[in-house]
This record gives sequence, C-alpha cells and structure tokens, in this order.
Amino acid sequence: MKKKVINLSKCIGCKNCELACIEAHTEGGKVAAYLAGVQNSVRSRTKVELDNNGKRFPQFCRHCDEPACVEACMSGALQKQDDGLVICDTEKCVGCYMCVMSCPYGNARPSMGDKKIMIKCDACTDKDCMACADVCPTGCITVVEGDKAIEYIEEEKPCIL
Amino acid sequence: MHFVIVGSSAAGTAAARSIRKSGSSDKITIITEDSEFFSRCQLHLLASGRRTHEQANFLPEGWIDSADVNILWDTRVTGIAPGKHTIYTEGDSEIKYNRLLIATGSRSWCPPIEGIEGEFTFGLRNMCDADKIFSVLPFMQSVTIIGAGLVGCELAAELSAIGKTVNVIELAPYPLPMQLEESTGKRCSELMQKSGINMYCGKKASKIKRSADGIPKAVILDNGESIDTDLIVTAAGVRPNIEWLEGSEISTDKKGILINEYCQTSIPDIFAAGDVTVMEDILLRSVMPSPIWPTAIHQGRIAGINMTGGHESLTRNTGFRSSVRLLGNNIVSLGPVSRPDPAWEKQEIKYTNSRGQTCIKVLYMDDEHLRAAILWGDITDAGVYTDVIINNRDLPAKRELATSLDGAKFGKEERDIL
Amino acid sequence: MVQCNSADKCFQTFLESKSEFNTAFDRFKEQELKCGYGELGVCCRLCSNGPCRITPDSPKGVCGASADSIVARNFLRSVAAGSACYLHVVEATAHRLKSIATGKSPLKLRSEKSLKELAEVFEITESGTMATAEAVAERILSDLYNPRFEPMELVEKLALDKRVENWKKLDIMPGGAKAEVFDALVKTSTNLNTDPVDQLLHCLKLGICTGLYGLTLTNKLNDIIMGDPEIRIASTGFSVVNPDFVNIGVTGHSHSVFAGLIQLLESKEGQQIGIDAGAKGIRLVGLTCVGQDMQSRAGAANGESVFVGQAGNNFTQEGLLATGAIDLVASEFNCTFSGIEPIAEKLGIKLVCLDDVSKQTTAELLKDVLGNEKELAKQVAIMATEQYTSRRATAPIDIPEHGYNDVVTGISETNILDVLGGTLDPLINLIKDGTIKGVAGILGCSNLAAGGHDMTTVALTEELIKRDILVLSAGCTTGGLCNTGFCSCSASEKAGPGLQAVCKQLNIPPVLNFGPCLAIGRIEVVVNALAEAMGLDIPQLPVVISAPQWLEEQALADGCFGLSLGLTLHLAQCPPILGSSIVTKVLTEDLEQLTGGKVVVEPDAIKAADIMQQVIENKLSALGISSDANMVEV
Repeated sequence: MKKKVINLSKCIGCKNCELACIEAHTEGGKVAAYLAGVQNSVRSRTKVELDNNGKRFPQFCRHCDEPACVEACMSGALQKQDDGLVICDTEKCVGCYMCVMSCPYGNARPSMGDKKIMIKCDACTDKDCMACADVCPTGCITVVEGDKAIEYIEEEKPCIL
Repeated sequence: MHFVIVGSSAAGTAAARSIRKSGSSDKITIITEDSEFFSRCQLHLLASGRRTHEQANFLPEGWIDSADVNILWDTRVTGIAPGKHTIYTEGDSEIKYNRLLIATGSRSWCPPIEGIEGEFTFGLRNMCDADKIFSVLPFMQSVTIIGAGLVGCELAAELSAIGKTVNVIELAPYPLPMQLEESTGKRCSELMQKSGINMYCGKKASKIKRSADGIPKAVILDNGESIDTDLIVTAAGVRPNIEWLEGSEISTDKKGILINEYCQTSIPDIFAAGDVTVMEDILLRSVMPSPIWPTAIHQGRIAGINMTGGHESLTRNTGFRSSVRLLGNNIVSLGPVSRPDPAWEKQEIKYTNSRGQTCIKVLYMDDEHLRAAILWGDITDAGVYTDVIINNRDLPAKRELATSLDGAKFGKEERDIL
Repeated sequence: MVQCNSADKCFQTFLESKSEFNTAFDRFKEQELKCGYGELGVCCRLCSNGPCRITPDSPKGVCGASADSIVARNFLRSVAAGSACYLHVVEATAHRLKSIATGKSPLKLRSEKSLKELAEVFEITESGTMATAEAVAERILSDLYNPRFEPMELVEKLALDKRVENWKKLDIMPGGAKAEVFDALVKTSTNLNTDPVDQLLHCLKLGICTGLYGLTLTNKLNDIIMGDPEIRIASTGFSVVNPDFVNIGVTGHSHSVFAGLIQLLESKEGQQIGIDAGAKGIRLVGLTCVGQDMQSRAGAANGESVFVGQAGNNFTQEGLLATGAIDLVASEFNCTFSGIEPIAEKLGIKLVCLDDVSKQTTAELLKDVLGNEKELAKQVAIMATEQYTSRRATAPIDIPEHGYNDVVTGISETNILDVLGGTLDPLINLIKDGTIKGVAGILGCSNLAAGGHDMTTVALTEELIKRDILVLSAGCTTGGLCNTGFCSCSASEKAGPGLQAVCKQLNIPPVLNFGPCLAIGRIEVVVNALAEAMGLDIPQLPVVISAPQWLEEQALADGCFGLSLGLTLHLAQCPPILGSSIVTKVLTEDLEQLTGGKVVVEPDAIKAADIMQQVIENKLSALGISSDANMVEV
C-alpha cells in the first residue's frame, strides 16, 4: 500500500499541505478552495501546529490498527477498511462528533461549514497522488510503498531551515 | 462451538464482528427483540423524521451474510439455565450455547408520576418508540419531555426545530446534569430557552392530567404550575434488562450485570457487554454502568476476542465521555464533571475565536493532571483531552498546557484510549 | 480567558472577563505557527516566476537571486516602508506649522521657546514668530523634498560632528528623505539591486532620515504647535476613563492632527456640545502613541485638561473599547488595530479616521484639511456626542480599576536637564563613580510574540534597574511600563541600591517616561548631548538600546537609526534575516566596524540584561572608568 512518510526534521511550517488538502477536497479549483477554506470553513484534514517543545509538527491521521474513532462511530460511517485505511462515509455521518471526542491525535475534526459531518484524511484514494505530499516543498512529506499507512521519522541532523 | 449473542445493538454486533475477526468460523446466533439494526444514538433523528430506518442502520450493507450470522429477530429471551448451557425464549423454545454473550442493554425507566401510565406517553429507547412518536407528531403541537439528559435535550432540539412547542422538565437545576457543571449548565439552559424550548429546571412533574378518554392535557409541576401538553416523552433514565436472569446465579446489582476486565460474568462461559453491565469506572473508581456507545462497542469487541479463547482485557473502562451537538453548539464532556473531587481545582476559560464562535473550556485539575473537562464551541481537539484524562498523562511544568491542548503537543508519540 | 499573557495582570484579568470579544490575544493562538520561509526572509514575490522560496535543494530564485539578495531586499523594503511612515508624520506636521504660520490654519503656536531654539539650530535669521515658523517649516520640507543627489542640509546641524564624519566616510549621508524611500522601492523591485551590502547601507541612510526628521524634528514641531512637554504626575490605565463624559479615544502618531480638537475642547463652547447632551463634557482618552504624546504635554495646555490620561499601549485598545465607555475613536495614523472594528460595531462605538492612510473598513473618513481644523474639530465633537446620546442608554459600561495615578510623565531632552540641575554632568558623574552602571533605552512597541504582551519589556526593565542601569523609555514599551508601575517613583524599590538612592534623591522613577515612540528621537538627542558633554562619539558611551518587543516596520526603521548612531541594539525577536548569512553577519557583527553599532538578538530577558550590561561594561572599561566602584555584581 501507499505509505506516507513524514520527516519531521524537514517541516518548515509553510502550511502548503493544509492548503493543498483543502483544495483536494473542494470543488472548483485552487482559489475557490482557498476562499472556501478561509471564509466558509471547509477544513483541512491536516494541520501543522507546534509540539510541546515548540517544534513544528504536521498532524496526519495515523489510520490506527484499532481506531478509536471507528469504535466511537454510532452511525457506521467510519470503517477500518481491509486495505488498512480508516475512511468516513460522509453520507452516513450524522455529525455526532463522538469520533472527534475519541481520536487521541485530534485528527478527527468537526466540519465548520453548514454540513455537519466529521472531517478526516481519506489518503486521497480517489486521486493519483496524495495532495499534501505533492505540494510539500521541503520533502518533509513523501509517499513510498509500505506495509502501513503512515510513518513519522526524524533525522539526527536537523534541516538548516 | 456455538456462540449465542443476546442483543443486536452496539455490543452484540461488535462481539460478532470480533469473533469473526479472531478467525473463528463457528456458528453465531444473535437473538434480539428488535426487528432490524439501528443506532440508538439516532433515535431522536428518527422520531423527528430527519432520518429513515435505513439510514439508521450502523452496519455495512449485507453484513448478516458477510459475517455469516444467524439472526432471530423479534425474539424475547425469558430465562437461562447456565448449568445446561441453555437459554429460553418466548414460547419456551430452548437454545443451546457453548459461549453466551448477554448484551440486552437497558430500557427507559418510567418515573413514578401520578397519571403517567396511559396514552401518548412514550420513552425513547427503541425503534418502535421513535416510530410511535413520529407517527403521532403530526397531530400533536405541544410535547413535554421529562428529563433533560442527552436523550431529552437532543429530542427537544429536534422537535423544536420542526416547529413543535417543546417543554422540558428536569429535576436538576440545569440540563445535561451528568455532562455539564453549573456555569455551562446555565448556559445550556439559556441556549435552549432562547431557541424557544420551555425549560423547567429544578422542577418535578407531580401529576399528568388527562382527558376522560385518557389523552394527556397537562403536566402539573410540584410548585402547582401547569403545562399544557399533547404528548409526553419520558427520558429520565434507564434500567438494565436483567430480569430474565433471575435465579441464574449470574451476579448482578440493581444497575446491571457485574463483569470482570475480560467481560466475563460470574459464570466463566457467560460474557456480558454494553449498557447491561456494571464494572469499575477508571475515572470515578466506582462500580457502575458505562452507558455510552464507544464503550459498548469496545466491551463487545473484547468479549468477542475472549469468547474465542483470546485474552484481551478492558483497561480504560469509563462511561464519562459524551459528545453532543445541541442547537448548533458542539459540547464534549469528559470525566466526572458532575461529581468532581472537591480537591480538584476548577478553571473556566472563555473566549471568542476569530470566527466569532464562543468557546469555553471548563477544566478540573489535580496537581499536574487533568481530571475532567467540558469543551464547548470548538471541540476540534477534544480527543486529545480524552487521551490526557483517560491516560492520566502528566502535564509537566506546564499546567497551562491543559488550556490549549492540541494534536501536535505530544508529537509523534503513539496513543491509545481504548 | 485570553490565550496569551500580559505583564499587566490587571488588564489581563479584565480582558478575560470580556470573553465575548475576539481580540488579538485570542487570535495570537490561531496564528501561533509561523511560515518558516517568512520567518527567515527567504520568500521572494517580486515576479511572476515566483513566489520563489530558498531551500538547500533550491538555493536560487528563478532569476538567480540568492538568499542573501532576497533577504536584504525584503529587509530594505520593510525599512523603507517604516521610514515612509515616520516621514509622513513629519511632513504633515511641517505643513501644519507652515499653514499656521501663514495664517491659513486658525491655530495658535504654544511654544515660542522651542521655535526659537530650533530656529537657532537651523541658523534662521527671520524676525517675528510667524515668519520664523514658516522658515523652519520650509527648511524641513525642502530637505524632505530634495532629490536623492542633493544631501539634506539639516543633517549636519542636527547630528553630532563625529557621526557626520562617520556617515560621510561610509557614504550614507542621505539625499532627500522621500527620494531615499522612493529609490529604496526602485532598488528592491524586480531584477534590480542584488547587492546585500549596498541594500543594508541604504537601510542606514533611511535610518538617518527616520531618526533626524521623522522622530527628532517631528517632536520639535509638535513642541512648537502643541506645547513643550512638562514633567508632572499623571494617571494611566483604564481607570482614567470617566463614563460621565463623552469620551473620544485617540489613536495614532500624528499629534498635531488633534491640535484643532484640543483647542476646541479647551473652550467653553467645545465642552458645551457634550454638556447639552447631558454629559459633563467631552474628554480625550489616550491610546497608542498619540495618547502618550498628549500625556507628556497635557500640562502645557491652558485651562482645563481635556485629556484624561493614557489608557494603555497598542495591545490594550481592544480591551479599552470593551469597557463600553468610549463613544468614538478617532485615528490619524497607525497602531489602530482592525480588531477594534467588530467590537466597535457590537458596542455602537463610532470609528472615524482623520487621514486616509489610516482608513479602516468600517470607519468614516473625515479628512483633516489644512485650514479646516476648527470645522473638523467641531464635526468630531458633535459626532462623538451624538454617539454618546444614541448608545449610552443601552451600552453596558464596565471600567476596571486599572493603572497608576502617580506616573511621572513629560520628560524630554530639554527638561531632563532641569531634573539634573541644568547640565548632564551629575549623570556623567554618577556613571563615573559607579552609582549608576549605565543607561539603557527600552524603546518601541509591544507585541504578543515575545512571551506575551509587555512580558519581555517588563522582565528586561526589571532586570536592568535591579543592576543599577537607568532606563529611558519611549513608545508602547513606556505605555506598558506605566501600567505595570515602573514609571512611578515607588518603582525605585525595585532598583539596585545605587539607582535607588539617585531616584530617591531626585524624586524620579528608575524608568524615565519620554512618551511616544516619536520620543525615541528625544532619547537619541539626550545620547547626543551626553556624547558632546563627555567629548566622545556615541559608540563609546555606556549606553545600550533595546526594542525588546518590536512589532512593526517603523520599529525596523527606528532600529536602523540606532545602528547608524553606533548604538548596540537588542531585540528579543530576530527580524526576518536569518535566511541570509551575509545580512545576519553584517547586522550582528561587521557593522560594529562601520558605524559602531550592532544588533543583538536574545529572547530571554535575563540573558539579554547580561548582554546589555556586558556591552556597557566593555564601553566603560575602554574609557578607563572600570574602577572598583563600577564592579558589577550579577
């Protein structure tokens, strides 16, 4: 399967991944996506924030083996698929946000727009590439073949940026 | 090997899935009083007509076949003989089992109010309750809901949204008394009142006045106040469905079946999971039910593993987790906010974010630990709070960290709240 | 709760109680994560091939520009913009003086003394007040409008000889100030200058324009128009607001825009506008630097003081509006946050802008036109009164107990001599004998980034005075220090024994409040005078400056003046230069060989104090005054 590798040493905090994620999940192209994101609250499935040590940390769904979000889902919208991905059926989701309450990584998010559903990473399965990795200017986010959906790594030698 | 599961809701079906996931292809029989699968958490949406039966099914399409389970719908269990590995259903049919899971859940409790028994007075626990409410709604204008817990409040908001006059009576001084504390409770009450719901908090219904033909006319409160009503819904709590176990030597208390961390009852080959069980709550350290969907699923899964010979245990059993979306406000309640330890320091944080959203965090801290929290408004990072509370995480040196937790704070560290 | 701390706990508590308003303190959290390229200064947006971002894998822009060129270009653009802001203010003020002098503007001049002194410096021979005033204004305007190839005449009259010598050697004597800004924009446009050193030298030129004209001369002109600063005890903080009056909050930096309004409100007729509406009258409430400026001169105005006091610095404005007691906010220049707009809307507060440079989206533009000062003043007073009438019945008012009523204010480059007994000698002697270990300027803005509102400013100041270093302050730093008690005489308790004794003897606080950020110019005049009195050049003086919580482009231009004067400048946060090793090295190391100044970046207040103290000690020992008496205990 496709594995997303995040090299924490290379995150520069540009938030290009957030923007690309919004774009990948919005109808109508780049500007529309940005405006939708900024003004109408389409959310990015990823977010870069600072960790406890003040280091930039891009947050991505871990597609857990035993996902707490799936256990909490009372509508059946969230399922752990055979391919290992945790996917939300947005038609089934009723927006109870028990998944939001349950994801210890904070990667199940409530939507902010009119449609009250949960928002999470779908690994861009309907696309050729993963939007976040595609736009990452530093090579912090890359996609390789692997046996799990995601891996965080950190280099000994920090990036100069 | 024959696995028998009594109950077809969260715990029962989770157990069946877990048995299959454990690799067993032995026979599984599910016995249920229900006629279909439905998510109990969506009943208020069914009662108002917002969602259909089909939409309320929480299982993937074709699950019965793909999971290869036998289902006995509309079947009530009446007794059990553990020594004979037998349960009895209505009409005295016998069903033999090797391993049994009891996941019979609970039912609405009808509070002892004069005149409560009668027409147009329903609970909201099963699909048939939701159907009944939905079918009579067109003829009803004023609905009185007794009890402002999660069920009562969510139903009140739904019915108010479709134009009904809704009255809510709650014994506690504010709605959602299990999920909120005084300040957020008052805020919630005002919110409901402002959206047109008539709130009667700190009040008790003492009598239901009915017409000669038994139709509800008014609810009389203990202060003599009279509220005109056409329909009454009781949402004042639940009782476990354990009567059929009488004389079976399965240990119970009045709130449910006692289980150990492997979801076993006092009889080793009989397991129990979901709302029908009681167990020590890790946050309150008290034996009690954990009547929430995620715990029912988790207990069902653990039971399923152990029924097939596995050895998984419940390590973080608690029912003090709720999320509710009420009248456009997201609210998450974590930990025993209704029964905080007096030694805990309470901190209330309120701000308006740049989307103009009012955000509140009520935090209960004990030294370097967060014990309970209410998040109102922006609940984006609620799961991180859940992790911190349930896993008793140290918030070293930075107590203020508790005020602004987010998913990045603990970096790439693996986390588990199950 | 607010999501960012303030050193002013009382203010923070008040803001926390106003959780229904979204303020910068809330938004700070949402903007916590910064773009690394922006922080390093290595994003170039100058052409359609971009934006280009410099990384180790892509070390050149499409045009070939290196990180050094891009960083220097971005930095010069910021300095040019900051310089332009202050030059806008001096230009407007000079025009005002000229307009009064020619009889167009119906305003009086309040300090003939300052006019005379400035005329002497300018070697103006005209006789008569108005003719002199016109000549002074003309002289300044003519310099500002010089082409770039013609040096500004007044530079040599205002600056220390030794500095002029140094600047000539470096070839950074500025031409016309506006032309210097203009060509800085040319230089930093697409595919023009890529030489980081040339661009940094241009920054120094802009620093000289900013300091001598934007700051020093604006102060002088304001003294002439608005009256000289007077040392007095005044009140600061939100408690200065009296809800019985129609209250006009003032924000900005261009003090003379309010000359007409002050003149009107000092009259019976002006106050009557408010009284007729049922209020006790009309008052001005200070916010940002224009409030600090009014505060320093309020005693100079004749008659009843219509200025009630300085409520707070830049980041307190949203909080002040949340009290509900302000009826109208009039802004003429910057540091007016957009964040007040929704609060004003919610509380029915009228927003007016008196200059389109500070036009806010929801504010009404009432343009200040020369000669029209009286009409404008009346219009603002009436508008504020109407707002009072329409909103006060329903608007909730909640003014906290906040601030100090014993703040020493109004110190200037002139009257500081009065405090010292006529000359700078007593100060020099105190330094020589080690009673005072040195002088530090704590200047500039407040921000939220350096540990929270005023956090580093207060921590650093506390540390410096503890070490017997006298602190001179101007700008929002002062606003913060006033509201945390450091500009009250009682603050001498927090000073080391030497400074404490001096404070008690002279009855001054350990932090001398010079007022607005424009008064950074006054402090630099004091430094000039100190050098003159000691027969030294500025880099030799036991003086350091810090803009611990610098916020805006103007601060960068101010900083460049400090660097061109040869001062060591501490910043708690690095400007966006770290992406270029050349720019970083020039500013933090090599510059010392050029002007004598340099930048020191240190976010930690204690460490910063250590560094500043060390700089002073080194300078003292170079002067041979490092006696036992001046041994510093850390």
